[in-house]
Amino acid sequence: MRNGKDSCLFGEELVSYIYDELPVAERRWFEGHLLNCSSCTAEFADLSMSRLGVYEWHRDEFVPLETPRFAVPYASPEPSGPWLAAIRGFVFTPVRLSFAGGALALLVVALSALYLADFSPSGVAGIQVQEPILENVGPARAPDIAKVKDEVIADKDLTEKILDKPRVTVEATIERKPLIVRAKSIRKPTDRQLTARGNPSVKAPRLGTFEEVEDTSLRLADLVADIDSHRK
Amino acid sequence: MFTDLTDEKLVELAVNSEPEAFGEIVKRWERKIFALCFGMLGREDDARDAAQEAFVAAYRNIGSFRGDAKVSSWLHRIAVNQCLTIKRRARTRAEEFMDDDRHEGEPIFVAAPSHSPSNQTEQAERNVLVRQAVGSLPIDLRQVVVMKEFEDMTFQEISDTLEIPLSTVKSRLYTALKQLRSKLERVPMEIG
Repeated sequence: MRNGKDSCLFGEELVSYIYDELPVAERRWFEGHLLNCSSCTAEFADLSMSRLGVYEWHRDEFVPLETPRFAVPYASPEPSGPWLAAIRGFVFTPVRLSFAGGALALLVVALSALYLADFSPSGVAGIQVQEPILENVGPARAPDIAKVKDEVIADKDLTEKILDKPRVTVEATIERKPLIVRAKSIRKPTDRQLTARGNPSVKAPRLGTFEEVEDTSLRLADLVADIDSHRK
Repeated sequence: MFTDLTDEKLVELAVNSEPEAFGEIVKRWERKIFALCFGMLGREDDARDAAQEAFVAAYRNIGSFRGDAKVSSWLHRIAVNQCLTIKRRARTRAEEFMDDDRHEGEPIFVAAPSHSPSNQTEQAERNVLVRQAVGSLPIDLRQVVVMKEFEDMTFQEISDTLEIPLSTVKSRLYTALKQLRSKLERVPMEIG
């Protein structure tokens, strides 16, 4: 028995003994144990039979075989290793790796900015479009038709001369300024309006539906005049 | 020319300036790698193919060899991978190999010795059954058995090559022999 256990746990020693790799002192001790332990002796016999079978197979089928000649293509060697290993060796140094990481981050930021610029509502592909400002918008004066007619007749000869000459194209530059749109201020509804909304019986006034109603409310001026007349 | 150099030095030479230095490595390891492949696959032609492909693969990837590992470990790993590839390829083609159509762990039954015509035939039959039994072992157990019996390596050499503890080598071999015994339960063995 070993280590106070009930069963023999000498597997490693058995294997070492079978293959003759047990030191001399241990071998003598183990042989003494085998003489007195039937379970270890039975196990030794089992393992020896297995070993014998493999040994015979090797002896009968492999030992007679000649070693073949193995041809290695030295003409196309890859002494520096496969291309993947070479790239790995080149790139995966700490400095180059950090540089590559930084470059990748910059590339991602640039691509993101380009993407956002493409789809932003204020412009297409980063080009800002200025919208014209509307100033002094008012009714245009109607031209005096009689006066214009006289001018046209007077300039008839001149017009014919101009038409005979080659046309001159004049390019006009229109300055466009951004359109300013002011939001209409939202006023709070008055108490009267709120009452009218809440009460369906109260009709909201409409344009074109005015009614002539006599104003019978007491006026302050009338009241003061009335008091003065009484004092007098 | 290269006989006095270590395996590691030969690899270094082959990587840098002299690819012929790899030829010395092949010469040193061809028998053991061939034996490993034979033990793993059980057939001479497949073993030859696997060993050939293993050496070619080793030469092509010689630049990726880590200096901290042993050349023997590196070669063994490549050879075992080649064996697994060949076996997988053969299974895809539905060829019959070592384990044939039997399921793993199923005991092998043979006729009694008296029914066999001669001792040589009996031995040949036994060898076939042992080959099938070894072929049905899990890969880590089979590798240890083959390295011990076919390559005649010590426990310490197996431990260094596979980069596993010495006790693990012994326990794997113990388990492998126990499993073989249960697989070859009915196979008569002659001692002497």
